[in-house]
Amino acid sequence: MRQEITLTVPSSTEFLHVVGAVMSEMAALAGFDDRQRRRIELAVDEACSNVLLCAYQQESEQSYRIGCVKEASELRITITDWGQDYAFPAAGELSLPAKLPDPSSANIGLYLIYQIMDEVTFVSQTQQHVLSMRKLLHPSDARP
Amino acid sequence: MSMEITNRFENDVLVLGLDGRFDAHAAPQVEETFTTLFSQGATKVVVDFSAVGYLSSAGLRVLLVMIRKLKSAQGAIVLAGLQPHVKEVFDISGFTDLFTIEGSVQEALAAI
Amino acid sequence: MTKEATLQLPADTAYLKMIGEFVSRMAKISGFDDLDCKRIEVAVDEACTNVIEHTQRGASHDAFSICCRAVASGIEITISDRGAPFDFDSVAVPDVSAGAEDRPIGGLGIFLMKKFMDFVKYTPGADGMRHLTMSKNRPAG
Repeated sequence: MRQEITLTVPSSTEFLHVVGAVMSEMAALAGFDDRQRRRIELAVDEACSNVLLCAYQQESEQSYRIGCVKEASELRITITDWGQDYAFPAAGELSLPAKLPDPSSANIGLYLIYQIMDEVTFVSQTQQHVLSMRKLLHPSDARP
Repeated sequence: MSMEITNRFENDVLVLGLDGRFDAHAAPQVEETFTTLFSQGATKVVVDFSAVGYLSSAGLRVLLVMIRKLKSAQGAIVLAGLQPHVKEVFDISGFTDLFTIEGSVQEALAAI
Repeated sequence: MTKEATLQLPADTAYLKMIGEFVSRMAKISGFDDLDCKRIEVAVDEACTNVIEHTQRGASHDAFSICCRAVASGIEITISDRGAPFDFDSVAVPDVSAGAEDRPIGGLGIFLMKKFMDFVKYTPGADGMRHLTMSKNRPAG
């Protein structure tokens, strides 16, 4: 059976902890240790917060979708929204938060996503945006 | 794993410590641990429930298997430290009447 | 506002803990206290365990879904899977006063669902899906 989950939630910050709890559990099932589990939960939380901020702009009546597939040694996460168009900066376009004179919290969030995940891609189509993230399971990050 | 199971002996009494969710995922694990120890001669069992925050009917099924095997071997089972939610599932399923239930492992060891 | 969340996942007991996290948090959002959240969690766990056991016997092969809706009166939950229709209401009510020797092993799941929720209904869908809908009202005050 394919080890895949899909979670659809309203575009409101009220549901971020639901997403976080489900993702943390998926990371545990994939074999990540507690530290990586928290990091993956954080990256997804940042990505969802970015969707709420950019795509829905406080509009809480919509919904978006988080998909996650567990492979033998990696986790693939996709976040799909149908909100307003927005740009998702590439890793090189982001400065280290410490170097920013006025660090915006959004940028710090995106910076964290790039720090935690092994691969981050963003595809923007008309009114559909998909952020895909890969996290590899290295033996040193595996649950004992 | 959703549940960690420990076992130790206090004289001839097996103390089975459960930590986690006692659901359909954990149930086969608990049953297997018990069955192994039972086949090795453990007939008096105290189950420490103090770290079990969640119980479903799959857990009740395992307890029923345990009490039957132990009774057929003239043994005994005492449960200890049920949290309120777990106690409620026992109450409405009528399991409270089937088992001796004590507040702590110490009390359970004294009662068995 | 829409307060509906849906989790679709494999029919595998390894996911029961995730289901518990999802449902208890949705129950909390719907305004239930901790004890009621646990009750709702058990009811959904029992329903999902049935779906998973059914799937593992080879009766179906698909993922299934759990939809939770926070509504004005409390919470509504629909569990949908692709399986053969069955007669939910004909499942015998277990004798909860029988001794350990006389008790059938099993049959408690549906009993617990009905105890912990105010409403439980099974609907075979025309789309080949079957839906188990349950709801619980928030206590007054």
